[in-house]
Amino acid sequence: MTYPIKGKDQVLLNFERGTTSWPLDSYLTRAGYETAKEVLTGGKYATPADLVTTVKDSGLRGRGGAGFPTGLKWSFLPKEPQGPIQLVVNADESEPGTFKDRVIMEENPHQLIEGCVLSCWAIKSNSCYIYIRGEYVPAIKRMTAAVEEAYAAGHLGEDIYGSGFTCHVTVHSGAGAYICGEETGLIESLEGKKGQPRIKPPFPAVYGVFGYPTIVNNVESIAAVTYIAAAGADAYRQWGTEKSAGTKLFSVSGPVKRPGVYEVAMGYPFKSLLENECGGMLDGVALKALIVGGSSVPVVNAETALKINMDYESCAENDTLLGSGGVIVIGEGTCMVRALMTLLRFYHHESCGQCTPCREGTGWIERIVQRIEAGDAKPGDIDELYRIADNMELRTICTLADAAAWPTKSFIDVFRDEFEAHVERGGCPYDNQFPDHLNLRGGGKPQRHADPEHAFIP
Amino acid sequence: MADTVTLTIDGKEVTVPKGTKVIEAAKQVGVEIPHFCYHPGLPVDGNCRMCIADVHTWNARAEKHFPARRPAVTCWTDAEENMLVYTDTDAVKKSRATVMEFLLINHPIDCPICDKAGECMLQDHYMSHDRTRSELREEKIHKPRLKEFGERIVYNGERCILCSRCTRFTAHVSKTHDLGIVNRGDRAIVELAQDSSFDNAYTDNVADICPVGALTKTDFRFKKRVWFLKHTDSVCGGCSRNCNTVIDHDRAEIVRIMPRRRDEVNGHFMCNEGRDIYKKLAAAPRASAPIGRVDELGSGPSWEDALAWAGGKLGEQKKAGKLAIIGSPWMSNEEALVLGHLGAKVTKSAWMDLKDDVVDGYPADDILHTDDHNPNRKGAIDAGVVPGKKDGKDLAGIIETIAAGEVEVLLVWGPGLVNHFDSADALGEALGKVPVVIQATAELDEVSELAHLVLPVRNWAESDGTWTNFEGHTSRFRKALRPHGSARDGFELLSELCTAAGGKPPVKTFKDARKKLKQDPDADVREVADGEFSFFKGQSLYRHHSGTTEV
Amino acid sequence: MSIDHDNLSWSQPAAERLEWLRTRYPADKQRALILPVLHMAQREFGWVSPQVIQFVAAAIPVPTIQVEEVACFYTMYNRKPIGRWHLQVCHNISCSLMGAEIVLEHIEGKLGIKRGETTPDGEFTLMGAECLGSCGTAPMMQVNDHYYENLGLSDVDELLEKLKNTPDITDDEANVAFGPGSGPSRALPQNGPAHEAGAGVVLPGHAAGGH
Repeated sequence: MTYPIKGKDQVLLNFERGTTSWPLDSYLTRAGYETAKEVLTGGKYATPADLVTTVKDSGLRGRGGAGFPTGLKWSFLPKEPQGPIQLVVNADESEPGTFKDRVIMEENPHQLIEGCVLSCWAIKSNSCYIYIRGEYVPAIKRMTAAVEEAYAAGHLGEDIYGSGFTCHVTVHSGAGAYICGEETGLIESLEGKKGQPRIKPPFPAVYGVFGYPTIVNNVESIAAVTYIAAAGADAYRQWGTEKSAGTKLFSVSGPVKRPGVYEVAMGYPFKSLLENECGGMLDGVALKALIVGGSSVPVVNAETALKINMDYESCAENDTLLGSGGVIVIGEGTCMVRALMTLLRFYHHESCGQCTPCREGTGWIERIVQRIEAGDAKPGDIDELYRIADNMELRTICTLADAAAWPTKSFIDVFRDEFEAHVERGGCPYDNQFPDHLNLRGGGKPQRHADPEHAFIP
Repeated sequence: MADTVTLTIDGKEVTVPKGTKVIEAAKQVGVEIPHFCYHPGLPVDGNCRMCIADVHTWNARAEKHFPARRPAVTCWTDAEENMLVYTDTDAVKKSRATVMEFLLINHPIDCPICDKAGECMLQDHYMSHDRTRSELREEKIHKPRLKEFGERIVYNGERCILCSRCTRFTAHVSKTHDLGIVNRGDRAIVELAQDSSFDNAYTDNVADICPVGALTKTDFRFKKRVWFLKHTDSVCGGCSRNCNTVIDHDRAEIVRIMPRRRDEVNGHFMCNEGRDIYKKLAAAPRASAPIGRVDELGSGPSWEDALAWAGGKLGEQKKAGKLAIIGSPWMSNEEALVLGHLGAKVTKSAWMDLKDDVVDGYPADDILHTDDHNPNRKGAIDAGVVPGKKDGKDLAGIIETIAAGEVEVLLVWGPGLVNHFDSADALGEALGKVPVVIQATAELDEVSELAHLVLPVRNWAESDGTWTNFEGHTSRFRKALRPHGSARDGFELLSELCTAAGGKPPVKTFKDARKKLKQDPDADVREVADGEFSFFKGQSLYRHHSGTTEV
Repeated sequence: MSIDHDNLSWSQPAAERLEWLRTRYPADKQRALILPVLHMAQREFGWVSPQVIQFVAAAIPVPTIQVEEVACFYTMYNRKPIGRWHLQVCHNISCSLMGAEIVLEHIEGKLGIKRGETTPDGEFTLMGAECLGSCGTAPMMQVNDHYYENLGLSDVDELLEKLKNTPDITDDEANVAFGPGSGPSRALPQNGPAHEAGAGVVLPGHAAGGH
């Protein structure tokens, strides 16, 4: 069995975009559930531990943003688990600029389900929860329908294929909170509480949802497991770099001709992604800055952006992070102070409020940036903003405070002149507005066009 | 496999049981790590971030120490073998100052009108760990400032630092689930559940454990600045749990009662009934001098005459053997020791038992309150007021004997004898059959209207003594108030009665009484100089309690 | 047709779904039902009123305060009734770069309300929202359960017209995913942000427009 080859789209987007690729029938034409059958009944792996080793060897790193090696995370499960092991799929995708898990769930849901079955088998779990953010109604609909199809056709449930292995999947919807994308925040939310993250250690592998040993993985990671289990570690490593193996989905947004979700090999140069897949910037708009991995990673200027390869090492070398792969392209004419203000409004809104530095700090820095943008700042305010952001870092339970601090510091580091101009002028050089790209988009069709499932038909 | 671990905190080695948190281990070597949300009586939350210290764990495989991956909160971190902890580095100090800054930016400058001033953890930690000027140039966030949580507690959302101590208390200690924190981020506030009127027996504890002035008690609001209060160790008499307390008083008046930590008795908390008990105490009718109702004494005998007369009547019973003694479960162990001796040795044998001074109060629950509304039944019995010792007559038997006209002298200690009769009239009728009724009491009652001699005694807030609770733990209360009029100390009075009755008291001094009573080893028996008041003037209350820094 | 919040009871399908949901979580951890059951209740009863909170707490059962905390923490639970059409326009970074603020101002002008408000006829509630995961098709908005992406100003005008002239719909597929109910809110709306409970929290400098 091989996956159909369509250019670089092999591991995850291995189907014809824009067709009805989500029903079970369609998935079966893509060798759907054959790997599950081989693993559960055909002895493809002698033991679950062997599949864990394969995933480790593949070099797959968590695709949600933290980039933690997936196989290694699985190996943290205790030998003597205190309770039934749980797999939780993190489909809370809320990092600004990121919209790739949605594509998997809406257009290739069964690959995720098969990945759940295989991962559960590997970590010796019989129970999987897919936690989908509540706003993603289309994705929830598709996943729920796909799970029902899978149960009906015997790919989920008790004694799958007569193998003796049981796997139950429950789709659980969130209710609107970015912090539930943090793995322990998600666990708390799944338990029916506010999504306030837990202090680690203990790690979820030891004490997770309902107190049971739990592995939390991103949608993309689990969907990639399907491929890795089928094709093996070396096959996955044919793409990517030494520390960043395989392929990744990148969600590109901003003033480019063809924004959308693209699957490319790790290490692919950003310049190529921008010019080839995305068709370059919109006419008349030059590249100004890049946020390469979702709003929480440091921003880089255009010169640096064009040097970046889409992998963990290159991003780190260029003072940023690969993160979730939410590629936000920023064009000339954009006020960077206003952009930071928009981001900080987000972090302030999403802070769960549990611990002091984040709860008070996110509100404080937003208010300072608002004043700067409104032209109501004093010279010391920029350094003050930097100092506060620096103080928020690392002192909190989870990394939301860091996620607010890094953009703040990097925007000031890279675009300090714009902040100073606001202070000196007593106003915004861009008239407190973003550039009007709304009316420029005619330059190209976006990757995902409105389809009947999404359009409203009275 | 050892059950303990040894770690080094600020260069000092300490060995603690496995599972001990670093913040507790630090206390044992005299290192106090500042904190807000941590409380030893509540599950750990780790949200204030004030207790961050520099923690290095030992990795046996690599054979070296690694710093924690993120700055560690010592309230959550388990002490581990070979761990190194530094609480006094510049980085840790900066961390604390940073947390203080974040806490203060939206905190209202309410100190001039806030009850908590003087015992506020935010103030204290600011003075110790911050002292920097505010850099805030924004307007502070406004939240509701006067939310009533039931009738006893008021909440101020602006002062609140969202430490969640109060919500953890109602979830895990009182288990009434009254309070929660709603909204995200800096919009968060504490809310009272819509179906709760916050009227359970333990509500006031949330105001004690609140580190700031966000939760205040309606009974104490704007009543007194805490730096005028004197704090005296005491014990609650509301039931046989004997929660250890502190009486806060000023100018001979009790202003409030707070719990005092005693792990084996009440933990960190007490119920509302015990807090309100000072009102009962203040309202109790008192006598300032002995009251007489026989010709030999006149209506206002001197103490000398009263004691001589009483002693004489008691001494006669040595031969006659018709003496009944009804003691009180509110007596101290020391008083009971002497009373028991009086009944058993001095007068050779008296019918003895205790009555139920108080029969009303909060119901028993599985948190603190017991079903005995009196504090020292067990202690008094153990100290010598043994029911049924003579002729097997307990209180019921004694009452029958009185009704049969066979009691010649009745000595009653304390109020409440009417609780054992159908009515005050029935009590009066029975007492009418007793030729000599002597009552020694702090609080006047129906017996005081009829007794031939009433000897006023100091109440527990005016005395030094111990009670023993229903589980056998002894607790010490100390003099907080000046005595009422010429009321005598119970222990001294009884000792003098022994002498006046022709015998000898069992011990010479109060200290000797303490030695004679076989007390449990962890009884709080710190001695202070005889006759001295025991108070800690002006200290932040939570620092006073038993030397620890928790309320 | 408004639902009487003083007389709440599940429809038959909702009651059945509640029993089915119980089986998906450990028997001694039924607190996990709070989020799904609140979703279901919001669809059944239109919005999450104090009575709904009490009702959900009793149904599971869990202490009421636990349901209150959840209802006030997550943005999707509406603590006040909202318009028939809940217009949530993303104003996060990617959408702002592509004109979200222009769209928002346009809608404000068209409907005559500000962000956070509901039109007097109860048809539309307008909000700014945080990232909805549609950054590549920005600017966009979520209307009840549906995403409308790649918005131009004329698209917006067309959509508002269509919505005004559309009777209530019941989205069966969404109901399968979330639980049976009457679909979009039909209760009479009030003005003000629907999400922040704990009335009286005032953030200086904040328009009432965001979530």
